[in-house]
Amino acid sequence: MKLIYVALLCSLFVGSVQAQKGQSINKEIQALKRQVIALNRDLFILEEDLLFPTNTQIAVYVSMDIGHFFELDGIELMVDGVNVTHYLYTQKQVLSLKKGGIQRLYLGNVSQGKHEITAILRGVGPNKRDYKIGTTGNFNKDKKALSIELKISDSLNKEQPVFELVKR
Amino acid sequence: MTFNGLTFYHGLVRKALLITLLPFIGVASALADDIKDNQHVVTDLGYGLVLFHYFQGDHQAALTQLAIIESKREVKHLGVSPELVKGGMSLSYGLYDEANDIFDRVSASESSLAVKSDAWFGSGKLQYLEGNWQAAEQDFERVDFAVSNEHKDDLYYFKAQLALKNNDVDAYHTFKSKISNGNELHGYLEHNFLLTKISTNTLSIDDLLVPQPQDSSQLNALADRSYLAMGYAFIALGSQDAAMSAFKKIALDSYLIEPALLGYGWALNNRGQYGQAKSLFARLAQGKDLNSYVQESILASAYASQLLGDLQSSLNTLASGIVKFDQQKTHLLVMQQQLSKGSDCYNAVVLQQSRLICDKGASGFNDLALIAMLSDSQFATSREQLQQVNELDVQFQRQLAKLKTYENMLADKQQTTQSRLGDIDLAQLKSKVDDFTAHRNKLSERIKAAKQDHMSTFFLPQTQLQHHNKISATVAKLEKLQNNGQKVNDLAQRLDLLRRSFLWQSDYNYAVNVNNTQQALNRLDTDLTALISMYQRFIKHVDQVANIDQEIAKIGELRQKITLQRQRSRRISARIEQDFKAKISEYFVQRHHVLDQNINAAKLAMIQMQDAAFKQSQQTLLPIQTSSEIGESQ
Repeated sequence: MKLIYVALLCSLFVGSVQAQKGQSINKEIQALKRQVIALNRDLFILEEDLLFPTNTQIAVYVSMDIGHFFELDGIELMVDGVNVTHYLYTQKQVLSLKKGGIQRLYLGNVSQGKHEITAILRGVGPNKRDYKIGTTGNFNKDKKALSIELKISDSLNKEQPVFELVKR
Repeated sequence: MTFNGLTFYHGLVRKALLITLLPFIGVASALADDIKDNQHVVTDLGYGLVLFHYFQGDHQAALTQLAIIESKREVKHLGVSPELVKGGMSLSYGLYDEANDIFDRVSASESSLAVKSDAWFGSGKLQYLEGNWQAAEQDFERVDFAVSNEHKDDLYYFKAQLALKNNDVDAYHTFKSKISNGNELHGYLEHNFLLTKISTNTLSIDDLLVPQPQDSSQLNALADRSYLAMGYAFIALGSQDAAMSAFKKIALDSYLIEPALLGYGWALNNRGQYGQAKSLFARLAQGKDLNSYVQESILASAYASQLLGDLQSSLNTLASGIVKFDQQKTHLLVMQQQLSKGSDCYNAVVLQQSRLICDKGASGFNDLALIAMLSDSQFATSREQLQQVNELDVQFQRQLAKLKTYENMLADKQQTTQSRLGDIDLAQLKSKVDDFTAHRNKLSERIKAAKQDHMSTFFLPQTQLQHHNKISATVAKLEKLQNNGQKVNDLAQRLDLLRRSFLWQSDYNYAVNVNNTQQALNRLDTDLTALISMYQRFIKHVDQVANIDQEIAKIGELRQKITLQRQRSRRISARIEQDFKAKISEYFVQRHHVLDQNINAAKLAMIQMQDAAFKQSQQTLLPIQTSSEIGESQ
């Protein structure tokens, strides 16, 4: 009886599965991934040409240097007094900015000529206090694409965060 | 000891080792995670954007952004070698060939030992992930000379893992001791070490003291697997108490609780506590899903009853088991039909999206054996591949949808522009504008010349010129008369007055007419400019139409490329699915086979018990039910 049970119980377990030709499929998937990236690139370039041609294009980037005195929560961006975006940040995104990543906060179109850009930043400032500050800049749009960088940095002397809008 | 669970726990050891690798595909591949604050001085906004995606683990977006920049210009960047970052991104995204090329290139060309070292480290990780242990070891050996703090823990983790693979316990301990305290990598290593001990039969009771993981659900699941494997290993070693202690450590909400309770039952049984073992087996045997463990529990319960001398109960359990096994066979057929390729249930199981879809018709999808099969390395690889191909296909679909939107937008624009152009013959318009411009230029030249030469004939009216000629002729006549001695003083005075008055009038008229002519010319110029500008606008519209045509042609090319890639992805996915289908069929064939074996074995056991009982009854004259009677009562 014991032997019957032993044989019986041993057979209950499913055997191992056969080996596969996974390697060649992996190579093909890699080739597909390469193509996805190349096609995404072409599509992005086409999209930019169609929707944001250089003679009207405006892009606002956000960068952060150190960031000890300011923990970013969100940014409200206005172009000529019109609210164009209101962005709330995740912890991961803030960390990416602190590590050296730059975010494209806004990509849009404006006419050629003078424009006013205002950014209202919200977050936690020195001494863990809620912080809300605005910064404004005037920029001239010409035939070239206009790139503006909103720089968040630390003033070590004042122990305060510093915000500035710079044309790039 | 009657139970041979070795096959099972060896399976667990293998799977646990593979599972241990899984978190490190993430840890190992994310080179960027090692890059600390202030190491990047980004001067290129585009490259900063690449890093923004990369640091968030969105490697595809990062690589796409990088490809966009590279197609337009050179990347301007200071700090950590962008090539190395690209290598890390490629590795994380699964482009192993690209990553390998980059790491090779950087390690061969860079003069900085730190950068070279990072490249070797990346290459080592890549080799490790691809299962090339020897190549990985060689790369890690090179890094050892200049290991940076960022890579230190990962490096020693990999080295410790490789030492385990070589069964070099001393080296394992040396490398492990170099990993920072508190790093969760210790947890993975400890459990891997435990599993190595199990596979080499060097497990001891002290190994039960392995610290319990704290907050990591992944480590907790891994620990449950290890304890289960340990439990069965202790049973095989004859240490029933240690086995029971190991089983007790498994979390009650773990999906491994059924095999853990089964093992616990066997340990009780082996200790001779048949009553407790039987009650545990009987409880497990009531399980709703007749998976491998429930099946085993039915048989084990019958076995425990037999050992307790309760033959009737054993026979009853076996008979009811046979009925359940038969029902399970029917149930498996339903499952198999549901799992046919292409069905929602099949996709749910293969892609592990949701088992709810399958639960409608067949509850057996919670089957641990099926889950185990799906987690098996080869099967898991195929599933992961299928998932990747499906995700890529979704991306191709999105790209096509975007193209459709742009195409519609361009078609609208083209229509609007063409409607602005109307039926105007541009060539005719152009020739008219040219004629008009030539006439204007000729006229302007004539006016200019007339002004320069004070051409009165150009600016004065004909009548005034006739009057001028008459006066001149009269003056000449008067001069003749005066020369002939006639007195014409009065006439001459009156004529002079008339002449001066006429000259004044003609000067005035000349000035007015020159001014009027200039004004008329200016007006003509304005009209002409407007006409030319209008013409240019038309030309622009015509150009726009031509550009739109070009853009539409570009979209067409892109669509063709995407469609081609979609076809490729479908072919790959069909190949993987074919493998899946074969494996699933094989699985069901095995399950049927096992059920048949169980039924046969149960029937045989029943006959043997009936024989034994019959012989006994011959001696004691005690009546006992026959197997057919039991079958009928069921």
